[in-house]
Amino acid sequence: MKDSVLTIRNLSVDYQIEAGRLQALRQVNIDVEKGAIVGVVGESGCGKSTLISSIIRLLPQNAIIRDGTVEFEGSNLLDLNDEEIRAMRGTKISVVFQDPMTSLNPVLSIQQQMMHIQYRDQNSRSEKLNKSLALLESVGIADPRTRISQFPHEYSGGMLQRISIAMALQAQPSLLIADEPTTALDATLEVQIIHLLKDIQSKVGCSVLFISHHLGVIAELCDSVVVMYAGEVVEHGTVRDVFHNPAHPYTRKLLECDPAGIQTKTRMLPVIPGEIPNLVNLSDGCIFRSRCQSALPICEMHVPRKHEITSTHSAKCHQLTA
Amino acid sequence: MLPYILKRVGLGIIIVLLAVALLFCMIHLIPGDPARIVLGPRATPELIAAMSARLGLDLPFPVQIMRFFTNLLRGDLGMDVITNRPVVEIVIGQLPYTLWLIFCAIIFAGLIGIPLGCYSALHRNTLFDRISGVISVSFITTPAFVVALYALLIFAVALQWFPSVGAGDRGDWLDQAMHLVLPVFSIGLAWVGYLARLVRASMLEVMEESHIRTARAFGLSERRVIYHYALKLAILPTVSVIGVGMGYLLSAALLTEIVFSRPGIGKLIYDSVITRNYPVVMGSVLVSTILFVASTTMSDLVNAWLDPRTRSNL
Ligand SMILES: Nc1ncnc2c1ncn2[C@@H]1O[C@H](COP(=O)(O)OP(=O)(O)OP(=O)(O)O)[C@@H](O)[C@H]1O
Ligand SMILES: [Mg+2]
Repeated sequence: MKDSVLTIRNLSVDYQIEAGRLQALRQVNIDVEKGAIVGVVGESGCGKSTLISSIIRLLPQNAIIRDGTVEFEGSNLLDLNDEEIRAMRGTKISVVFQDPMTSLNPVLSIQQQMMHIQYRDQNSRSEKLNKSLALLESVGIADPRTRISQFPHEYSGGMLQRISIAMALQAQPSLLIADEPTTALDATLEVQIIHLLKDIQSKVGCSVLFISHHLGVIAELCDSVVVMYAGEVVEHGTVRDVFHNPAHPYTRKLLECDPAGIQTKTRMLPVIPGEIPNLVNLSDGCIFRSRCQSALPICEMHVPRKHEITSTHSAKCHQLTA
Repeated sequence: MLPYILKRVGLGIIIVLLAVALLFCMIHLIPGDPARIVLGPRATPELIAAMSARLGLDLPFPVQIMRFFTNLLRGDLGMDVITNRPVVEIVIGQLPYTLWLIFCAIIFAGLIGIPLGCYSALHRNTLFDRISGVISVSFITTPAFVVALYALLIFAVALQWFPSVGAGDRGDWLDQAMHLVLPVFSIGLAWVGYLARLVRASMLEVMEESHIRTARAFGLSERRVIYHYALKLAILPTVSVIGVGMGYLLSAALLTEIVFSRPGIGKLIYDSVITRNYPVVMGSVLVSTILFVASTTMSDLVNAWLDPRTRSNL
């Protein structure tokens, strides 16, 4: 095995809510190897953003990390104190957030925001400005010298996402996390941003944890995939493994429902019937059983264990072991 | 920014002119002859006719309004019917007292209310937050003249820390400042509570916005995130409210000036209404209108300076 940049083991996160404890993440394991692009896919509410917030330790106040470790370059991020984790943010680990229109400060110019994030550098103002301009140039912002003094509302969504990427790369992080960076953009922009990310990743050589619910994007960009369902990793493998030989019923359903993968003409888009179960007061058994068409009696009783299909491919389903 | 300033100031001038025209029409259309009102119930018809001629009330209405506006543009608001001094002189003489009072009250409210709101928002649901909430609400609900009366009784009469009557000696800055303390406290107190609640609410809202998470994800210090990234946004509604609030402070100032026998626009309006000094009433109301429009315009300009989105919108 190559050396890992990020190793998440048994990560479990709860949210304390009025109804009790919402178990948003349960025993999550994820590896990101050096220079790899790992995709995380799953429907809304399956805990993707919770996962990211746990890594950079920006969880909401009501979140409780119940169990697990997040090893990053040799230290457990969950053990660091506030100052130590802050020193990691934006330098070793950077994040590109979901909605570019709201993820930059509306009353500060792009220049101010790009200069502020370089506060750790000893460079002079003009050096910082030049670096910002070069970064904007590298993500394809035309005429950065005049545009840098503008404010977020003067840019289009696609441009703002390019700027967010430029800002995330400012300190040449070893891990770039992208939380659905293209969900708020239209399809052509999505392709552009994906190409940009791939391009930049090969230049900078950082590892990428790429969150999406768009399978096509994952297939295009990533080396390996983690499929999440309701707070659990249900399948994990290389893009080839998962897309050509899906082992978990949920993954199969996801692939069937991907509009891009539908061959025959239909009037109705296929959907996975049912919805994500309530994550408060979970009972035993497989988390997917209520929506699974091939559920067995055992699925009601025990949580399935991880089953290794090949050395790179694993899934959690009783059918694989039965 | 300059086009925005010009547009906003132009708009302000139009608003003042419209408001003044409206005021003028209202006074003339409501029943009752101003000349008769000025002179009181026992005036003879000859006296009333003479007063009408002096005030220009015998002319046709369009001529009157034209004359009023041309005089206004020349800075002439007519003559005080009692002392026969120009109204402009009287109003301008009283204006600084009220301006100082309102200005200091806003500063006092801002200096205490804004940090209080910020601190409460950042320490939400702590004991401090709850106590400051209760205190703020009780400040808001206590009328300024009640505060004024109690302040007078406690700090001026019983403890004798501050003087109780008037505005202090001309030229003696310290004396004038001492005379300002209680009136400023009286009309500013409600605003301390009001601003604290307002800033707390908008701060809580802004801290939940996703750009704050972005700022933190870049490792910016908590101080920069709060005082630079969040407060600059959270202060915007407060600036607008202060702009409009100057109008309310003006009416609070009226009662407070009476309680403390302070000179000022409020006292002037009160006295001239009592003595039915029609030109002075008109002049002071006009100045209050200008003051109100000027303060809302100012707050819009400050907002535009803070918020680039407003700047490009108009
Ligand atoms: N602050 C919170 N308090 C309580 N529950 C929360 C909180 N944030 C998220 N949750 C719950 O945790 C679960 C996971 O949420 P999360 O935002 O991580 O999902 P997601 O996969 O990112 O979804 P999306 O694709 O919509 O962004 C959901 O059931 C959600 O309702
Ligand atoms: Mg999310």
